[in-house]
Amino acid sequence: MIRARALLFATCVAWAAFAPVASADIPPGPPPTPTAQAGETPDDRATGFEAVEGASTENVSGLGLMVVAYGLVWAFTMLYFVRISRLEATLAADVARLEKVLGPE
Amino acid sequence: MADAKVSTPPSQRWFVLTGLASALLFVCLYLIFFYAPTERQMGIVQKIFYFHVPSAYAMYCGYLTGAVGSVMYLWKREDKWDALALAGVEVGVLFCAVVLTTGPLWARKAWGVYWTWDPRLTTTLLAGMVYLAYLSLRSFGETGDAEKRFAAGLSIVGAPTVVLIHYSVQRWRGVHPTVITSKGRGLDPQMWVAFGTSLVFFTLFVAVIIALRYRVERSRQRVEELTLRAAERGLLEES
Repeated sequence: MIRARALLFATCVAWAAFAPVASADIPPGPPPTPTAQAGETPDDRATGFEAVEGASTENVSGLGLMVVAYGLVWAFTMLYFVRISRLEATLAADVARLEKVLGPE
Repeated sequence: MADAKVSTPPSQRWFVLTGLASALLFVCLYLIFFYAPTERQMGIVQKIFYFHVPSAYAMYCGYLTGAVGSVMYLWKREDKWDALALAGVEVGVLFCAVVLTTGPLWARKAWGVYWTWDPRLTTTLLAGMVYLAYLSLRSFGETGDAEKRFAAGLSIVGAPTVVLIHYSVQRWRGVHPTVITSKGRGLDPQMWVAFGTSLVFFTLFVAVIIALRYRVERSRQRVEELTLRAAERGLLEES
């Protein structure tokens, strides 16, 4: 059991240590530009120009992204607080139970 | 194992500190959305900056607390330092998650992509993975002295990545902005007010969360100690 846990841990550490390094070896793509679209390859942009359909406006809402970002900050911290408070309640009950079992010292 | 103190109810000081942090949060939000001007080129999405950068700062605080706790644990072998190290690392990882999710949302608008292998982004991800390994060890491993020492070593080894994150943007060319350093063009004075207030809030906030997590870990150590004592006396079967 301990050996299996040690193996799992070693795998986690190896993955943590080498995954970003391995990924960093991948040649970087084209420099990101504000006009880059999802699913578009460098060749698509280099070999042809297409007219925009409809109004020529930015299709990514800055307001939407900002709201999502602030929402995520709130969600992460709230989830963490809930986890901590549940853990604290469980531990407080355990301490009380064990102190009762052990009696006055 | 050193005696862990019994978890006591939060004192009045706790409520004052938490109340102050909550009040400051509202002041921060007011300054960010009603006082600080909208950035000329990026627009409203730049307001992510006021929580993104202080979150990175809170992440540094968490990791450094973890490193200090680990060094002290290896030196003194007292469980309170191990609890501090765990609290620091866990809170550091929490804020690392905030940084690594808010950053890409901002990047989507500013750079046109959610992610790029920029030095600062890559080193932040690397640090997050190192400390996730620490938390995996603490969660899946035993709670003995050997595991604690190994975890302390891992936390100390991970600490230089904080320095690496901070200086990566200056040492290697990248696309990540550097407005706060001397090489950057700086911030608008009103933006500084909002940013400074946000930094003060996050300092208070990270201190409160680390202290809270520390209390919980000390309680867990107390439960472990009492369980061991009860088992030695053969009382657990009866309960």
